[in-house]
Amino acid sequence: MEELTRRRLISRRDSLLLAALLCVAAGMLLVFSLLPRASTAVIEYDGNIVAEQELSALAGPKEVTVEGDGGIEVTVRLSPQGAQVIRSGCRDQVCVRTGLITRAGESVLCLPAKVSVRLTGGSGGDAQTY
Amino acid sequence: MKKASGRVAFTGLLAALALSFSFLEGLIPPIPVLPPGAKLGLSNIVVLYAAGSLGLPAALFLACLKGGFALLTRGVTAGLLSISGGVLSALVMWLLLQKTRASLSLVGVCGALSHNAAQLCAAWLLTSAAVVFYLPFLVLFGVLTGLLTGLVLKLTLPPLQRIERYLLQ
Repeated sequence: MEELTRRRLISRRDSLLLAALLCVAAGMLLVFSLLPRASTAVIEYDGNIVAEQELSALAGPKEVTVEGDGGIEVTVRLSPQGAQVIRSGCRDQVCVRTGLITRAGESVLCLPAKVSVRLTGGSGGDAQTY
Repeated sequence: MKKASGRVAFTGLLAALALSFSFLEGLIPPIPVLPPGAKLGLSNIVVLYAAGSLGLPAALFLACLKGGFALLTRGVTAGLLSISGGVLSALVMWLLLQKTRASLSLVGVCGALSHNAAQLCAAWLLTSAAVVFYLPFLVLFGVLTGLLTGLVLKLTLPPLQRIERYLLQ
């Protein structure tokens, strides 16, 4: 292999590759932003559905607490806009920091607790499979 | 110094360096703007260097060690994520260095991206949620941190090479 010291930091070909990669990412973002708004929130623990809520049926925010792996309690706030994990017993708080999700297909995950909050649906009849 | 013991000493030195970087990263307070769970990947600099100068076994060893450290300090989930990302990343970087003439930036970026990809898969396996939505942010962040990795390595190569040459005489 070419010795490390003789390798360049960046080359023309590589910078083009990276630019293309960034374009792909931007494209993905565009596609995601065009997706329909969510209609239903599904909270799962270890792959099993523990709670389901039709978001349009809500008059205001509603909090649901789910107990996950290791006794970690995850509190989800469901509202007509979407879902958000507002409190969790996990160590890293990644789920809380994810913030509000509003689009169908988006999700908030708490990996240590094995809890996930997913938004599904869209204008009637959409099939969203992952 | 005999080559074999020199390699052991040098690998140990790199391992300590990698763990220090991991620890340092853990001290940085989480920034709200960035994707949650995103890290600077400073310890990947060491893995990249090992992949390029000591070979695949050393790089994999460092990746596993980092995973073990994450397991002990941040728990099972963190350990699993770290080792899956670290092993794939080490492998990808070594392959790129071995088989292609890719620049350090590209190798760093591919290392960061494969690290993220493995972690995304691990997250999906643990929760079977639609993790695809994290992709654009992970790609962007992977490119940025990968570039940083390549740059820092380029800048710190001289002292690293001096130590390596002394130990591996």
